[in-house]
This record gives sequence, C-alpha cells and structure tokens, in this order.
Amino acid sequence: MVAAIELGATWLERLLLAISSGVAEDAPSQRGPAFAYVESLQRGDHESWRLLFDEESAAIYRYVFSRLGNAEDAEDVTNQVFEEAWRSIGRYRDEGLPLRAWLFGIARNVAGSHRRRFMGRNAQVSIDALQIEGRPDAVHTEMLDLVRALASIDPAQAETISLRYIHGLSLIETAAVLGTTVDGVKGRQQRALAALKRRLGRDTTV
Amino acid sequence: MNVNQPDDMTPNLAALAREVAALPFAWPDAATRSRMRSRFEDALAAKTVAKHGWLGRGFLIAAALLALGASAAAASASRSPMDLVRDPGGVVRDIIGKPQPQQPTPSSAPAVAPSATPDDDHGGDDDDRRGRDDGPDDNSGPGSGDDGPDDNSGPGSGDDGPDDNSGPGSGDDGPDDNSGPGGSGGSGSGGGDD
Repeated sequence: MVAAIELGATWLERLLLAISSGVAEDAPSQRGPAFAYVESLQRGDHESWRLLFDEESAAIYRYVFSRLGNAEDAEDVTNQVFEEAWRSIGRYRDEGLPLRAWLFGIARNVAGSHRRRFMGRNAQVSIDALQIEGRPDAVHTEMLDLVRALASIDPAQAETISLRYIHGLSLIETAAVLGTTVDGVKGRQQRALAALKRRLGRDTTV
Repeated sequence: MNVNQPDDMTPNLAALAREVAALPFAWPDAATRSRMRSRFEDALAAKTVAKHGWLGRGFLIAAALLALGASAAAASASRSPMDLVRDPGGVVRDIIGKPQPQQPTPSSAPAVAPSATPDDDHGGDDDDRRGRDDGPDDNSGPGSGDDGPDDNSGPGSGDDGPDDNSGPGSGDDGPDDNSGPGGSGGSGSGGGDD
C-alpha cells in the first residue's frame, strides 16, 4: 500500500512539474517484443502466455480498475483482456511497440464495453469516492486539487494525461492505445497541461 | 464512437475521481493475482482444446470410443449368467444359473446404457447426457465464427474512423469536439492553440 502511494506521488510530481513548466517530457518507450516471443505467442505456447500474463496483468488490472472503479470488475475484465488477446494475437502486427500498449488498447475497449453493458454509460461516482475509508490521508490535498482540475477539462485530454502520467505510457504508446498519432497526443497533452495550469490558478511548483 | 472521445469517460468529475481514487488500491494484491492467474490457467487449458478444432475434438472422440470399447470388453469378460441382461424387447429378466442358448452375444448387447453412448455427431465434447449435439459451441479458436458483439482486439477499434490528427505543422487538432453523437473523428484542421 505504501509503495502504491509513493508511486502515486511520483506521477503526481511529474505531472505537477509538467504543468508548471509547460514541458512534457516523454517517458522512455519500452522496446518491442522479440520476434520469437511474438511468434511463440501466436503459436499458443503456454509458457509464453504465462510470461506475458505475469509481466503485464498487474498494469492492466490497475488501468482497468481506474476505468471501472471496482475491484471485482477489474479482476474480471483483466482476465477478459487476456482472453481477448489470446483470440487476437494472430492479428497482432509488430510495430516496435511493447505488448503493453497493445494490451492497453484491448483493455480500453473491453472496459468500455463492460461499462456500457453493465454499468450504463453515465455511471456516476461522487467525489466522495476519494475519501477512502480508514485512510483519510490516502488522497492528499494537492492530489484532490489536481483531480478537480482534471475533471474539469476535456475528457479526451484528461484521458491522455491519465495514460501518460498515471499509467506511464510513452507518447507513441499512448498514441497506439488511443488510435491516434503522436502529434495528436502531443497536442492534447499540451492543451491539457495549459488548461490544468489555468484551472489550478497558480504556478504550480513541486 | 469518436476515438477522440474516450469511450466511457463521463464529463467528467466522476471519471477522474474514480481514476485517482483507485490509485492507492490499484495494484492487485497476492490473492487477486492468484485468482486471476488461476482463471487464466483455466482459460489456457480450454483454449488449447478449442485451438485444435476438429482435430482436437476428433482426438477426444476417438479416445472416448477407445475407453468405451475397453470398458465394454472388460464388462463382457466379467459377465456371468447371474448378470442382468437387457433383452431387445426392453424387458429385464433375471437369468439365474440357467444356460441361455439364445443369450445375446456381447457384440450385440449394448456395451453401456444408451445415455452414455459417445457423441458421433462432432458436437460438444462435454455433455453426453442425450447423446446428441448438445455441447456449447466454442468459437474462441482462431478462425472461428463470431463469438461476441465486440471486436476489442485493436486500439480504437470502435465504430468510426481514426482521428485525423496529422494536420500540417502538427498544430494539434484544435479543441476536440466530443459533443456530437458519432462524430467523424478529430477535426484535424491544424490551428492548434499553442
């Protein structure tokens, strides 16, 4: 739990620095998978799939959790993501991106379908959701201010910020997940940072 | 669905509140990891059968037939006049110690009850109660038919075209227009605000 909070502070610091400076540094992009690895996945090699699951399931779970806000659903949908990946690996085209970006793209769609099917498109979660029972310090004021600011900007821009800073994807990976171009991601990101700076109403310093 | 518009992010406070609220708890704990891994293993095992399609099913059917043949042979070997024999008329009669010159030969007698006969129609592989094609189809193998409403395999695989965010000068794409239903992608006309 402590590690997770520290991780949160890390992304928060990075984001606040970017808002303050207006400069968004790209996260280092991971290397794409080795050809032999992809080939073994496409062959249905169980050990390769176990390796992929062990390496990526936690990040996928965290991403899905953030989209659904429910641990049980996140667990269920995470498994669905890998089952979908199994079905779709034959159509995977290696473009030098890590498999995580491809899995995030699947996760985004599966989680979206899940929400539409089971939660309704306009499921509402109160800001009270931030008040975590028994851990009033889990979300500190700075984060709360940032959340309010993020919540007030364009959803597409907010999602870009989420993928880039909260989930740590690089520009090109984020572009792959969103189905857009790197320039498109850069544009949304810059506008989002500017809007956040205006919303926060101050020169944010870390 | 416009890929410029996040598929499920409600404007807007709720979505981000949920996003950040999840953070302290977001990494799966050991129990969650274990459950997910177990379910994944089950899926792998199931997919393996599905992956081999008819070949795998044929193998399973052949194996079942061999097993049934072996059990029938064992049953006939141990058959004694004290056994109950089901005659062709369906009447069960007790054969008690008397030689039966017209006793059905093992080959003509059903080896097992009809309800347990193997499928011969290439149907499901796990429900043999009626001996018919009553198994649920598994369309999850590669090249199989459609098995779900959504194709979630590709990023942004919604029902519209991709963004055109590659306008000249990488001038971003202007403010995203997320208001229109089923919009046709980003405006992509340059003229960013930076």
